[in-house]
Amino acid sequence: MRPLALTVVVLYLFATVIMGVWAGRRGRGSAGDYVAAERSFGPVVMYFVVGATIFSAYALLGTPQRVVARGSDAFYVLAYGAVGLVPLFFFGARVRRIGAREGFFTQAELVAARFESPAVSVMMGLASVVAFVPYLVIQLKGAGLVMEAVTGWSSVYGAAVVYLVVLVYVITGGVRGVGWTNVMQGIAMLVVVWVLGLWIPTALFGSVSAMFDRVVAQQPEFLTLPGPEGRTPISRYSSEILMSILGLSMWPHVFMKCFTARSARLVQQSVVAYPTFLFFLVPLVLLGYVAVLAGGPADDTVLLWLVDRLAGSAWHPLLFAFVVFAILAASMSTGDALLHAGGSIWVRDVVLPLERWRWAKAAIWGARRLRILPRPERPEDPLREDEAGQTRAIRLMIVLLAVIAWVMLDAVGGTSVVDLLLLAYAIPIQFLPLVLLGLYWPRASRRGAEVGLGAGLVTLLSVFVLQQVDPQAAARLNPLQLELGMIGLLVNGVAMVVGSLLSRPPSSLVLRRFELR
Amino acid sequence: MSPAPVERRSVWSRVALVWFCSSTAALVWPVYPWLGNRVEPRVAGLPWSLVYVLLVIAANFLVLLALYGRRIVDARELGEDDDVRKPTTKGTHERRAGAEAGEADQERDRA
Repeated sequence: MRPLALTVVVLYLFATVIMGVWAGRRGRGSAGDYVAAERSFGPVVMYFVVGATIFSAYALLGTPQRVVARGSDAFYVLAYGAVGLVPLFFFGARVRRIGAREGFFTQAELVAARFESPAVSVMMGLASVVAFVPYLVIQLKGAGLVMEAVTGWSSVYGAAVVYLVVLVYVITGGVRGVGWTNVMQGIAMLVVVWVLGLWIPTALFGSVSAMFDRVVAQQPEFLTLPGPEGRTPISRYSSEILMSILGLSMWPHVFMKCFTARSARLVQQSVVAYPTFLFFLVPLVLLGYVAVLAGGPADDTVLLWLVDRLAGSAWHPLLFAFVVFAILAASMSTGDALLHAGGSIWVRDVVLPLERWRWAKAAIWGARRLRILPRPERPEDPLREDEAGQTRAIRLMIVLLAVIAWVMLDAVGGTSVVDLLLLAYAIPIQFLPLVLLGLYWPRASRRGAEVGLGAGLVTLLSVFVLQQVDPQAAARLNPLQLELGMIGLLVNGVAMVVGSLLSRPPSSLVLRRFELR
Repeated sequence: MSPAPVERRSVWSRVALVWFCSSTAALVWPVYPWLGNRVEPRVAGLPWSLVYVLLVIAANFLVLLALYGRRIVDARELGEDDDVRKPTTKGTHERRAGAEAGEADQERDRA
């Protein structure tokens, strides 16, 4: 038990709940407000929402770990971040405009309306939720790790306590709760990581420069590719960067933030300001090199291990509390956005388009009878017209998602999640042809979108299953060692273009609504 | 800063696209191993391999700042004449009606 760190954790968790609940009370409480805060986020909240959402526990714990394991391969996070959000700068203003004019709150709503296809909405919604779960498990794992170090509890229970707090402010505060807590979490991360990144190398080696002198003298292979034992060929490093650049702005919880901004300009402003968040990774890289010299573990405990190198110093308990604070902030600021987006996407992109189906109607009717969903004024009202019902359904889905992620953490301890993460990262890239061709190519049609997305997702799943079941056969079929997402993207893009050219073009009304005419 | 005229904006927008494609190329094979993947020269003690990536980030930041300030890339706000729908669920419902109207429109186009 670490009393100072525990006090900081408890105070921090209380503060997030208070802030999240307070932020939620500023809205009208409608479904639209719950999902997109009535498109009212200003510059400060947008800056932290975009930055803190992208910087997860995975970035905080994984960056120094990657330096220890693979040397300069860890710079890839900086490299893809340099360009990763730029697509949003180009299409973000248009997305924000169309969203406000048409009443869209999610990525799939916009894409499905462009292609007039509920099937596209359902496919995107399901794929997004599949991508979110392993990503969420990683956030829970980060929180659990910290709580175990602070309290001595099992990490599974520690993660449960932290995410109960997250659930409270996400459920009561909606996206406003997520936004305002992200402000606090973002400031915490930036300050703490910079303090640590400069403090620890200076305390142990005299200065950052002196630390690198020692790395150059003792382990120079950690400073360039292909890294120690040639673990990262330049081809692999390059393909990872390209895939990440293509995928970053397509993550639904990132894309959705275009709809929460107060103006189109503000979306662009967030992209411009993003590199200041990116520089927050530099101290983590520095800490990674400290661990290289000190023989630190090549796993996600390395950050906590590093702080314990200063054990005995009067500042050690305070530093440890700082690190705990930052890791929790990183985990929660991404986890809350994933939970909120996952619940919103499930209801708006999957349930609402399927509501016409008899079984879905029966399920909603049953949920209303059992008071799981509130009863609308007119019993025959569909969920689409029932704001209170939608908000409740989103909240229920948020809880369900959190429980699924927690059960997965308990069942697999987070280890097998790494394989699932490969699939998770490959999914958002499949939305790229839909978004780009949908926004810029008038000929892109409904049939093209359905065939392209369907083909991309089926390819992705087939290759993933083959890689797990028979890795040798998968390697034979993929002699160029292309990334999973790239294979899906190629199939998806070609199928979408061919499908569009061979089918009926979209109507002129749709083209006008999407500013293509 | 005042925005540039529309036709100049369009040209500069394309130049910006080329810039970002080039900066992506600078971070991967074959440019990165050629220009960036080495320890020397060191800047403020940091190895060149890291400084190189940070310089690309800084350059992109400045380019984005200029594009933003000059309103070169599409930054049009929703006009006052546009019908801003309040965030209600009816938006989706109206869209469906719009889609049906779209099909009628398409029929007319074909005719």
